[in-house]
Amino acid sequence: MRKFLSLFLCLLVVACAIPATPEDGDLINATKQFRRELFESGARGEVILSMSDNVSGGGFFSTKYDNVMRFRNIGSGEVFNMTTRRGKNVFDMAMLSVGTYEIENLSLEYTYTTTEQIGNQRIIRTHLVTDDNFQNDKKIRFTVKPGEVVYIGHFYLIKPENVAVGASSETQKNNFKIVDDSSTFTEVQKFLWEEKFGVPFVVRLAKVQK
Amino acid sequence: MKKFLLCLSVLFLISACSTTTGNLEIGTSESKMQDSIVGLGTKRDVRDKFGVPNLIFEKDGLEYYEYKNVSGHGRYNWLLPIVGRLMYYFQDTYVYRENNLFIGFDKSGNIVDWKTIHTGGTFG
Repeated sequence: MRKFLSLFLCLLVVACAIPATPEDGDLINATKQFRRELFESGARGEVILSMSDNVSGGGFFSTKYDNVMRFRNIGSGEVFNMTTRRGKNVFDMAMLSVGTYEIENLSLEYTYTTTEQIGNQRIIRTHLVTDDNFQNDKKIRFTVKPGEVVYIGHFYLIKPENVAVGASSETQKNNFKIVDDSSTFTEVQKFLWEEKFGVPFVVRLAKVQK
Repeated sequence: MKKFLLCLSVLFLISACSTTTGNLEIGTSESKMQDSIVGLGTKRDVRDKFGVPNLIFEKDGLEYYEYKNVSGHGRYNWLLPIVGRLMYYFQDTYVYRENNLFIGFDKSGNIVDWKTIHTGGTFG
């Protein structure tokens, strides 16, 4: 009995050492999901964006390559992410509390795995590489209004190695552009959004402030 | 001694199962949220009891305070400690639940409306 109890306790301690629970930030991020009852409360709005980049789509960068926008609610301080993945989705959406949001970072992220053989053991490691595209000398803000579905723009992330030769040294830094791509949305896409949210989207691009 | 260790194990087990963030004063169940608002009459009462609201907004001519909390856990937490630990490596989603309390005030700061909303889903 004593041995069984000791074994149980050991297993329990091991089990509890790495809890299968999400972090606080994960939970806050989960609340971006659209839930009609909350959307119609007058406290929420829906944000849509699209993102892409100028990195070559072949070879190493062809899969598991994300464009990530991290932003913060100015009032509550809550931090969220919106992500698009190459070859999978161009758009991301988030249901957010009404108010003003400030973008903290725009980045290109890619994950890859490496395999290493040490003796009889094969070790597989997963790596995450982040390449920031946002210089903190600018502020980018957008607003969310009650019951509104707002498209805040297409965020185009630009890596310097793809900038034309002869460009000035200032343009060699990672950069970004925010453009209105709404005219390219298909009727099917618009229909699906309207069916999901119950209202048509409006365009109000995120603003860059110096 | 065995009972004590067993209780301790159960306590560890439960604490390893879920995470809650946000305002815990409002409660995490419908009945607790209903109870939490009993006896409150004004904006001051609400602030004294629940603190700074997560959001202040206007709707239908009333000022609303929103308080919320979010809890989440792994999908296979009920299988912990042994099988659940194995399943952890295969599960691709977590379960979350958001509890919202909306309290509406008139221009004098008196409570004239309130509502609770419970929603949730999965994420990975």
